[in-house]
Amino acid sequence: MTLQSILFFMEQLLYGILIGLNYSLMALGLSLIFGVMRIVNFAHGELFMLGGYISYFLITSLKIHPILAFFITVLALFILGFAIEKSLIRPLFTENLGDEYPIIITFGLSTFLVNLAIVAFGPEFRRPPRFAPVKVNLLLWTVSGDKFYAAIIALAIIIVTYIFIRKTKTGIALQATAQDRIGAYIVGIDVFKMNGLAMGIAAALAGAAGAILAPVFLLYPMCGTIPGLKGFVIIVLGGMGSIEGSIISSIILGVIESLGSVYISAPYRDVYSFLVLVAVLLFRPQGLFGVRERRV
Amino acid sequence: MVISLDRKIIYTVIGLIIVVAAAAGGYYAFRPARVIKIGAVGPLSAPGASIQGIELKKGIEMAIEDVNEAGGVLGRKIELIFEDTMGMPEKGRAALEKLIKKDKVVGVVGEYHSSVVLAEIEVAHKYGIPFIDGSGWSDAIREKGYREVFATSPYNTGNAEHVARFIKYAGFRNIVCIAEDTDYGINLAERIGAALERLGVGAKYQYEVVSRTATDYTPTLLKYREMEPRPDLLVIAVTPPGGFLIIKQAYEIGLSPETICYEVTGAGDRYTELWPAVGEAGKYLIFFTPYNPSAKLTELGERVRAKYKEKYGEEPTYIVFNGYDCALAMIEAIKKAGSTDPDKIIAALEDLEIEGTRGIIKFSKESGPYWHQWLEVPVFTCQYHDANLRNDEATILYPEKFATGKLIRPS
Repeated sequence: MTLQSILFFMEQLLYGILIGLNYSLMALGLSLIFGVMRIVNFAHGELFMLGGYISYFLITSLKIHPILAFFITVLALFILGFAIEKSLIRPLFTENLGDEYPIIITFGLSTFLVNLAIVAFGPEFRRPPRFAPVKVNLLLWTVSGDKFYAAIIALAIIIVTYIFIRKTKTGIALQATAQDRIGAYIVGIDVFKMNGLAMGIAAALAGAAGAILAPVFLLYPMCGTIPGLKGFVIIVLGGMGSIEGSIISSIILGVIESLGSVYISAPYRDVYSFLVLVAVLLFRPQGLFGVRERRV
Repeated sequence: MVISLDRKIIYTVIGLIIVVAAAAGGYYAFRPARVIKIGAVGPLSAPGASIQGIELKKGIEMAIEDVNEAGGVLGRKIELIFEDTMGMPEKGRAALEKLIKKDKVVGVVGEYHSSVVLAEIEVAHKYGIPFIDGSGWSDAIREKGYREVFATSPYNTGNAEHVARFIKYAGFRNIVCIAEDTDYGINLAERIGAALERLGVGAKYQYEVVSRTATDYTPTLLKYREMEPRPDLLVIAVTPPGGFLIIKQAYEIGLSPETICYEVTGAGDRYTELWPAVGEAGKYLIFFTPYNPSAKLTELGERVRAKYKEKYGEEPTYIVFNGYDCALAMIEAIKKAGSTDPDKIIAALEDLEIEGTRGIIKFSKESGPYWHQWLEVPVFTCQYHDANLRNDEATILYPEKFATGKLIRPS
């Protein structure tokens, strides 16, 4: 093995980590929703797409500074997530609807948002202005500036979210709701408020991912489909509802995709993640970091 | 049994109504049609390429309008019935069934996605109805060898031949082609390789297949950045957004512009979509296109171009001309056949020779990818010597007789 091939391997690894960090924003939100509400949000990818478009129009049409546009986008998506929970998800808990209800309602929401985007924004590809230099020199390598800064911002958001969930009173209430909904309710936690908060944070994370990744991956009405799918793979891989699991699995997935497309075959890039998923489900059904659940 | 007078009257009236209704129905069913119906298909909504579908429709509509303004064909007006196929083969198949069985069209034109054309021509073949492929490039469409199917669209083998000739002309020596994982992409990459060999170019050529839906091509591109010697040309046979992402990411990792990108799906011509997506990475981009505003059109082509610009306030793309030409060929064949009988129209199409928007349209009888193909459909290779240029500001590099400048390599 030559020095050049080792450096090349390291570079691929680095790109895998950068992409993985970006995936983790999507996965973290999905994991939070599942943890707190025990539902899968099929419209999560479309919230990513909406975040991208909101940020794009704030920057290009209203000429708002990209950093301010980013925070407005996150806030807008938080409010939207809260509203979605209150109007569409809450009947699951208050009307005692079946388990299939969230699948149908979020799937319908996903289709609606894609078609809304086609009508409202058109099918064209769009790209917001760069928020970073084209290239960044990182140790021995030159990497894409957009991708690098997106990963750094993603890392910062992950750390803030993690601290919020693990260290603050509200975060601990969220964890309590995720652990035992009835128990949390008995000790005085407003579980409906926690539902709304979880959905709002998840939507805000998806919107943040959309805003920072729009210059990297282009915007179009169906641009949320693949990130949304990857998010599902990651949360199953990491263990449904596990925050740490989803972060680490995102990075694992990014690295597997990066190395797989170079050392095995590029067209199967999206297949690798599903192969790993099948293997994990076979040998460790609760996911890499999940805990086996026993119900009586 | 005794029937009262009142009942006799009622039965007589009902009987009369049935007879009159049957007579009227029979008359309407068998009366000579006052219009000639032509069917058209194309993607007008997602997941199909709706922008291209809408352009195709505009071109077809303009051809029908022109003919109707001139008095129609065989003393009758043409009625166009357009079906949205959404880029889905099953929708295309259903659209053809509806157009042929319900609307009774005498021929069908259009379509953009090759996979949809392949489904549609099975229906046209089953009913013996002429079909002119407006913008499906796949060789598989021609290789079916159906007598009902004709093509005014560019075709993969012809396009690959053009790309190979340009590579030879420009003197590239080490070429890598990135192809999407579809029949179209793989077929195109293979045909380019075959054409390079046939022309005896002697350049090193390899292709790699990538996922069309991927969003990050960096790992694959890094491999070619590290290649010794580094490729001098990166041929991109991936439709957008993948193709645009490859152009952008090749630039970000420093592979291009030293390795020049050559977009061969025709998307490089769509500058209003290209520049927002790739930005400065598009400087020096070479692109294959079936049309360039700087290229000479026929007299008809110039009229269509002027009318389109007046009507829609923008320069037509090649898809508008594709749409116009396929509709025009069908109408002229009806005129030549002097009949709306499908067999006679097919026979007329086989011997047709008319002036289209970009040259004389006639269909080859050579088998394989050339079957019923307009062989001389013009194609070009152009270059954006700077970022954010319109397609009419791009330099035509090839064919030589149309060239407006020479290839500019980054210094």
